[in-house]
Order: sequence, then structure tokens, then C-alpha cells
Amino acid sequence: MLCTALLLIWAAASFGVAWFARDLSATVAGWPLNFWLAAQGSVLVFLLVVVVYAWAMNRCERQRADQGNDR
Amino acid sequence: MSRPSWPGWRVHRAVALFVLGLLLFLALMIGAERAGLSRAWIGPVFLFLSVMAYAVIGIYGRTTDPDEFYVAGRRIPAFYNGMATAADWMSAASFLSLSGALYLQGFSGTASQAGGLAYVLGWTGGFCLVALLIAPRLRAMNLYTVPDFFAERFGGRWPRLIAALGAVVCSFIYVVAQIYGVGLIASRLTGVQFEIGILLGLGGVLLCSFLGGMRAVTWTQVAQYLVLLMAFLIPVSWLAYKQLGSPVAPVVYGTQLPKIAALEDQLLNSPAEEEVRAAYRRQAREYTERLRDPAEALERDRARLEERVRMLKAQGVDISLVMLARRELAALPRDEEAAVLRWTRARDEALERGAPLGGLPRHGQAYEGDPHGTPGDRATFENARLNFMALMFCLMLGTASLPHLLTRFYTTSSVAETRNSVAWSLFFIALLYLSTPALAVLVKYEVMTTLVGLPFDKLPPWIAQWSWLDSSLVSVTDMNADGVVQFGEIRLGPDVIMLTTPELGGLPYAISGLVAAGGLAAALSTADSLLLTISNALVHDSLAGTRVLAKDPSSQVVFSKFALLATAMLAAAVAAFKPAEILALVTAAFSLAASIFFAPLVLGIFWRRTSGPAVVAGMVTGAVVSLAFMVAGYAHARGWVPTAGWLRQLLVIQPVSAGVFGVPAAVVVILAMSWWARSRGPVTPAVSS
Repeated sequence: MLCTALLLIWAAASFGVAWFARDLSATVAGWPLNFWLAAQGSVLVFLLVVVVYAWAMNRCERQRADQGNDR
Repeated sequence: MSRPSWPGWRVHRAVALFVLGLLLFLALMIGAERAGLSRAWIGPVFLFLSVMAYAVIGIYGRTTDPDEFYVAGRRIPAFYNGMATAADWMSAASFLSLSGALYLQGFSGTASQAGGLAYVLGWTGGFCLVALLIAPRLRAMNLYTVPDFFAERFGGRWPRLIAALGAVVCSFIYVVAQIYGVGLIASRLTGVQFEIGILLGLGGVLLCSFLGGMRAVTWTQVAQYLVLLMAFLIPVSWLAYKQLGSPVAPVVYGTQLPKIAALEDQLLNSPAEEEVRAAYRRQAREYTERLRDPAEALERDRARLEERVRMLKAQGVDISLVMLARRELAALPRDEEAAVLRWTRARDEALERGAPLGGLPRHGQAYEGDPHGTPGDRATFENARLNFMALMFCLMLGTASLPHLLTRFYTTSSVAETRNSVAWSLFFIALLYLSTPALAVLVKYEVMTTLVGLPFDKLPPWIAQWSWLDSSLVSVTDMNADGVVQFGEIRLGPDVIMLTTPELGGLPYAISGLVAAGGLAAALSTADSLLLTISNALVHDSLAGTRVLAKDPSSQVVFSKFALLATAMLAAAVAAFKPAEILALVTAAFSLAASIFFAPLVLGIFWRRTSGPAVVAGMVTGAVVSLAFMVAGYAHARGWVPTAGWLRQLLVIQPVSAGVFGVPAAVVVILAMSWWARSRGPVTPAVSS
């Protein structure tokens, strides 16, 4: 579940941004939006995806191990 | 020499001391330069000392124990493994060529050569796949190499052998590019020949990986990461501070983009720039004219120069003028064939530089062409977008398939640590990658504002020094003879832009030394682990189970070491031929790795019914399809083969992105054959994690 959701976010941040790059040429806070997304935004999203996955999976694993000990 | 445990405060202290020492050394060198140390010494000192430092770490970590040699004893903390992975993975292509490519290609490259931010997206996005799909599952299986996965999962000899062969081929292409980078840096900074530069760098690589295997490589890579991070961030921060008043380049550089767009408009309408373009177009026409009858043109050139030498001699002018004319005569192409080759290249270059902005696309524009314009413009736009996506696809899947990267995640102490380690890796990579587009933008702004419009007699000295070394890397020529530099007259090669940044920004030469050391660190760290991967695939995976290794497990390590030595020599020999640009070689390696490994790994991990024979067929198909496409693409580009209509449709994709076809082909073959096998035999159990 988590994995699928994260993969969807990954696809949107990479292929989605690349596909619609031309349509996103607004200027936000002095930055051209498409350039910012491709050069910085997507990289930050990727980082977030990986961190969330590691955190969630490791927590889930620990909980499962604890339950195993309780039984 | 086994120590009870690596992690803990001792490691932190060692790393902190290393950083401190590096900063101190840098300060010392800047001081020495002020005091009058010659530039001829600064470059070699940086190169020599950094290679020595890596070698010392390598000797300190020497080992013959298989567990240490292959997976560093599986006790590298996630944080440091992340750092090592970042260095491992950021190669000469990332450090040297990427900022250059971003400078030359802007957002997305041209329609015929996609690039630009596709590299940034591809080389970071791939880590999502590594983290979510592959690395933790492989770590759970307690393997030594990537081909081990195929042995464990499918059994039999063939899956592992083919995987080993695949690992060797892609890693070899990749390592050739790294050694080429090493040669480039070493020869530029020490002034030795390219081939000797290669040998110098090779010594450093071998000392480390030969003696200590994965353990030594891991800790050298940590050191190399620190060097390359500093070497990158110092010039970027300085440029950002100089232009925008804040050293945090990735946060502030955005405001330069609209300014660059305005400058580009100005350049596009400038009459002086138009003169330069016209001069290049004239030059291109001249070469076209000559190429119509090269033999005759060559004869004419020779006769003209001989006549001039005779005349000068008869007039009794200064001997140096005669020598100059003689030298020009000697520089003529040897025969007709050489003349055709040289003039074709010169014509293509002149044509490119005769285009607006010297052939560079507008920096902030996503894709060439226009989605709402004429049919031609629309096609250009569609092509550019398609190629951008294809390139990104190959780089991402290649990241998730390259064996040298995946084995790095075997070295952590648990599966949970592997997940953390992938996150740390991406963090350390992002530290650099967020600054790379910034560097390209800042350099472009610097060139457009400080270099353009400068009188030729006031050119900064570094331009002359670089163009004297190799005019194909840096050159500035007064095409319209007005004595002022125009943007179209400046040529910077992709592989040197990073190296010239400190001088462009007016920093001391010692910083250039540091940047070169950073490039060397990037190339060496990647070369180290690639060589290790190749030798392990050759020995551990190809000879496994044979009689040679049955007697004694540590003999395997000895064999690995010698395979490594042989591979390194072979790679150096190939690199000495300078087969292609760094970025093109690296991209091809990524495409090939994706085609061979991605489908078998992912299907093998997630789909219980994947069968051994199917995987073998899938890997072979992937490799064959992508190699065939690359060959067809290059042949097509050179006009060697007439292409049928449907093939021409496919060849819209550039050859290096062959993975777009290789990966689906492998998936289809594996699915079809596994289904077929399922109806006939029992099912092998899937991997559980």
C-alpha cells in the first residue's frame, strides 16, 4: 500500500513534471516554476519518498518484532 | 588486523580530523600561493597528496578475509555507508561533465541531443526504485555480489553466469569513462601526457581496492566524498555570494534565470552577435565548398602556402615569419581522407556555432520547438520531450540496476540499516545535485556579464592557458574582428567548465587545485568499486563451484585481486584511445545495465513464478535489443545504412537511451517464458523478506 503510494508520488515528480514542463512556465517568487521543479523540487520529493519509506518500514518492522516477543 | 567495531566515536573523530586537516591544508596552499608558490606546483601537490591519502587509508584497511573483502564485514553504519555510496555513485560524469552539460544544454538540451535536467532527475529519482524495490530485499538475502542473487533465487549455473557477464560488461564501459576522466584531470594539472596521467591515477585506485577490497574502498570513499563535496561547494558558494550576496547557491540562484533570459534576448538581437554568426556560416560554406572536391582543395592549399614560404624567403623577412608559414604548411591534413575527416568536423562545428547563441538552447526553456506552432515546431517539441523522458527513464532504471551501486548496500549491519543507508545516500547526493544546476546558471551569468563585451587584449589569463593546452576545450576567437568578445565567440567544452569555474570567479588558483582533486576523487571512488565489482563477478561468480575454488575460500580473494589488476590494465588501455565523451559512455552503461538487470531483479523479487530459464532469456534479450539499437542508432547517425520507414520512427530516440526498448523487451520475454514454464513444471519459491 505504502509502497504503491510512494511509487505514484515518484512517478508524478519525475515523469509527470517532465511531461508537463512546458505548461508549468509560471513564475513563482522570482523562480520559473518548471525549472525549479525539475532542478530542485523533484529531487527534494525523491528524498522525502525515500526517508518516509525507511522510517515507516523500520517502525512497522519494530512493531512486528515487539508483538512477536509478547506472544 | 581486525578491530572490534568500526562505528562509534573513533570514526567520527577520524572523519572530523580529516575535514579539519583538509581545510588547514587548503588555507596553507592559499597562503603559499600568496607568498609566491608557482602554479606549476599547486596542481601536482593537490593530486599527489590526495592520492597518497587514499592509498594510506587503503593500506590501513588491507584484508584477505572474504567477508571483509566482499562486503566490509557487514558493519558499516548507515550514515557512513550513505557517504561512501554517494562518492561511489557520483562519478567523473557527475562532478565534471554534469555542470558543463547543464551549462551547454540548459533545461533539456536540444532536440537532437536531450540532456540537461534529465540527468539530475534520472540520477536522483533512481534511488526511489533502489530503496522501495531492490536494496532492502537483496540485503535480506545475505549475498556477496549481485549475480549471487540469481544463483540463490533461481539455482543452476546459467542465471548467475549470464548475470556475471552482464555485470562485467556494463561496469567495464563505466570504468573506461572514469579512467578517461582521471587521465584528463591528471594530464591537465601536472602537464604530463594523457596516457601517463591515466597510469598515475590507476596507481591510486589499485593501491586501495587491490589491498583492502570493499572495506578499504568504503573508507576511502568516505574521504573522497568529503573532498569532492568541498571542492564543489566552495566555488559555487563563492559565485553565488559574488553575484547575489548569499553563499547558499541552491536557494538564491533562481532570480538569475529571468536575467539570463533577458540577456539571451539581447544577444539574439545584437548586430555584433549576428556578425559572428554570419562569419561562422561563411566558414561552414567554405568547408562545404572544399568538401565537394577535397583532393583539389588540399592541393590548392598546399600550393598557396608553399608559394608564401618562397615569397617570404625571397623578400628576406624575419626568419620567425618563415617558420610560421612552414608550420602552417606542416599542419595541413596528410592526405585526402584526413582532410575530409577534419573538414567535415570543422564544417559541423561552424554550422553549430553559426546558430543563435552559438548553438546553445535558451537556458530556462523546457524543450525546443513549440507545441502550438507549425507542424515542424510541434514535431521538434514532441521529439525533445520524448527524448528527455527516455533519457530520464534509462538513467533511473540504470541506477536501480548497476551492480556496483547495489553491492554497496550489502555492507550495512541489517535490513533496517540498509533502508536508512539509501536515505542517507540520496541526502548526500542531493547536497551536490541541488547545487549543480545552480553552478551552471551562475557560470552562464558570469560569462554573459563579465566575459562578453570585454576587449580582447583584456582577456583573463586562464583562457589563454586553457586554450593553449587544447583549443577544443576552451577557445575564444575574434570572428568579426571588432576586438570585443561576443557570446558566440566563446567556446567552452563540457568537461572543463567545472575546472575553470574558480578562475572564472576570480578565486585563487589553489581552489582550482582543490576542484581538480575533487574531480579525481569522484572518478577514483567510482572506478574503485567498479573494478571490485568486475573482479568479483569474474572470480566469485564465474568460478564459483568449480574445483579451483573448492579447496580454500581465501584463495578466492587472491584470485579476485589479480582479476582486478588485469581489468584495471585493460580498462586503462581502452581509455587511452579516448573512445567517446565521458557523459555518452556513462549513459550507455546505464542503458545497458537497465536492460540487463532491471526486469530480472524486480520480477525475481516480486513475482513467485519467475523461472530461471526465463530470466536467462530475458537478460540476453535485454542486452541484445539495447546493443542492437545503439549500433543501429550510431550507424544511422553516420549515414552508413539506409533505414526503412518503421526503423526511422524508432530512431527518433537517441542511441544512448536504448534502455527504453531493452527493458520492455526483457519484461515481455520473462513474463511469457515463465507463464509457459508454469504450465509445465513446479514453481520455485519466491524470495521472502
